[in-house]
Amino acid sequence: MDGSTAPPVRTIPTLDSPEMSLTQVPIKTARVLRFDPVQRGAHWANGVLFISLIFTALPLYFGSFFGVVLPRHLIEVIHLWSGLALPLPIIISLIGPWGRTMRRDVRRINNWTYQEIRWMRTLGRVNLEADKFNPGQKLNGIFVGASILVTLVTAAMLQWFRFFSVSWRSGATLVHDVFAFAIFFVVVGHIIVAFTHRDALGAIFKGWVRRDWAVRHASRWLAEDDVDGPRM
Amino acid sequence: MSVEHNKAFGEDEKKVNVGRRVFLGLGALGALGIAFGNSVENTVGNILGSGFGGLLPGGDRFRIYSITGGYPKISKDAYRLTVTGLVDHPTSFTFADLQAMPKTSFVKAFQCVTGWRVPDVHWEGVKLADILDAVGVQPGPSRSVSTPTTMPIPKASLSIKPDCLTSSWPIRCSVLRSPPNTAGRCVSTSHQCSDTSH
Repeated sequence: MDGSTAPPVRTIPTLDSPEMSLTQVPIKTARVLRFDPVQRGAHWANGVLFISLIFTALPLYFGSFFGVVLPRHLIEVIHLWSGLALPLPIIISLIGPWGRTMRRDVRRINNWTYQEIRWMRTLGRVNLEADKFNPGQKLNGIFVGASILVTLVTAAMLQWFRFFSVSWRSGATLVHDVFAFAIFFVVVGHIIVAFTHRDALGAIFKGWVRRDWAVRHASRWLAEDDVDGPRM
Repeated sequence: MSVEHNKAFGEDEKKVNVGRRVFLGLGALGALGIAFGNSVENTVGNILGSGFGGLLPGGDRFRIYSITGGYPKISKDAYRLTVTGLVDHPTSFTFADLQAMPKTSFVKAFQCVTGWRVPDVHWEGVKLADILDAVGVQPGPSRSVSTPTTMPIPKASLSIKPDCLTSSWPIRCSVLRSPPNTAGRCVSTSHQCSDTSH
């Protein structure tokens, strides 16, 4: 940690020395920064792309929808390019000097304690000192990342099918369909949970959460010494 | 290991890279599905009567690809099947001509080149082989049948095998000298050859 990110401090009088002295203690801000602008931008870019993919997938898969609003060929082009663009927000937000918080959060999502694994296995019936993200949220992040990769690979096989045997094309179609359905249900669940947890929902718009929310829902995150207030 | 044991030895703080495991696990699942999905679906289909595609909502159905937004309407009187090219008697069959020819019907899966399939499709029509016999294909090295259209879409083309059958939708046939581009297998979406189920 370099000195430029030391938490802001204020001075208070204390009685721990013969004469009254002034001590510097960290300010406990009422708000804590949860998502920086890079993360919020990547999230909303992903959101737009996923909505575009899902809405174009419906007529492509179910057939009877096509031609209602747009010709099928245009729907296919939008679907293909939305899918090819999908990894970009994550990749761009990770590489580069603006990606420190994002990279740290990806490490956080990947590395679980035994306590978190146990919490996941028992579906929340043991105590948990929650990290910035609870294990369910971490699993959601891992699943979305893996699904983006798998659907991208199978999509490439469906689009440039000349290079693959008919058997592999069928396999790729099946895998693409199954993962697409899984993504659909995960995204719907994600939106439902977002709307039923309004106290946390604000963070993805404004970037910050209230400190008392964090104390209750992400205590282990708060214990990290460089969690500071929002830059507003 | 008990919770008390973990707490005493600080094991709760040890980190396991769950992310990598789940990521690789899902990737492996995808790869296996690509490589073996087709054969597994065939096996399941033989046992259950429909593959995994049938389990997905909306699966095992035709996916309509159209860049024109519709199908041309042709009356039975106006319909003609014209066969030209390297044939002895270039002929234009009417619908009545085709109805008079021997009809073949069978039930087989529809396999699209892009990978999706519809099981148990009922095919019925005049064998392409019978039509080609009627017009008399001129002998020579490999021959292919192509279906040129006036619309800006790629031509469908297929190699001639005696047991290739065609459905009875309107196509225009030209027998050309050019070799087939499908390595001897029929993969046009208009029909299914006898042994392309893998």
